[in-house]
Amino acid sequence: MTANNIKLEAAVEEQKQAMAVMKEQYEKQGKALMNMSRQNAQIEKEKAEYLAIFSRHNLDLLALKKPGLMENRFNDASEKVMEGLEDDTEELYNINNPNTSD
Amino acid sequence: MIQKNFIISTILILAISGCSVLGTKKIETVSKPIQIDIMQPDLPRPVELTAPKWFVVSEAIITNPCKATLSFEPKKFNEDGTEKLKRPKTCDLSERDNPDWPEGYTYLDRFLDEMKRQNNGDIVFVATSVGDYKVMAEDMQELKRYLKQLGEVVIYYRNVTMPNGDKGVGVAVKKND
Repeated sequence: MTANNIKLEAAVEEQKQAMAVMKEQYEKQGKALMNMSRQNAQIEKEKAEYLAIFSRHNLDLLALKKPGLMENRFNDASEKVMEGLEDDTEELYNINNPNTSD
Repeated sequence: MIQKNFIISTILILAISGCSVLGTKKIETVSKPIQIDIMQPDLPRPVELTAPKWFVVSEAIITNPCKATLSFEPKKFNEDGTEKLKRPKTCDLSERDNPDWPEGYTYLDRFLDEMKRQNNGDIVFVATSVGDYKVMAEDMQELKRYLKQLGEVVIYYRNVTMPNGDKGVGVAVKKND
């Protein structure tokens, strides 16, 4: 009888631990999912802000009247986009090698 | 003979009953979570890109100002001690910043000259319209969005599969002014 009780208590304790681990895992996933959604929304917002530049300006007219100015803007923007992509992919790559990030 | 039959019978009983006559051992099954160590793969190396050079061309005339030759009254000086000069409003072509540019030199003229210089005197280039540049820029932003969001998915999976609460690092969103 005593041996059975000990076994039962141990089994209950194990089940409790299992539940705690599952709960912790569930919460971890929930947080990670929420964080991902927040980041994705921010990325969408950033893209929308870039595209809004086009809707705010008449590029045809600006290119016609001020081609020198527009040329600089186009080239600067292209440079920034390329650098941004390089930085983003490097940051992702450095997850495995955090010490190599500056 | 009796002894032989007894031995054969015993062996037969044991063989047929699967040794159950010797008693059974209780098998206990216990369910508990185990930590599965998922190997995190190496991520692909970062992209290395080169920005293209864009030429924006129209028939607008390029400003070709006169060289600064006139003194201020009273005289003004630069930080390095040299005299600061101002540009006259009118001057000969030879006294302008770009004396080799003829009068009325346009962005189109400069572009064609540049193409000739790059192609041993021939005019050859790949062109796009302002509208198509816009389409290309929008497409680039869309690709960038996809790449970054995919990065976030990678981070998510790393965060939920790494042991001991280790965390991945998200792709930081940088807002350009």
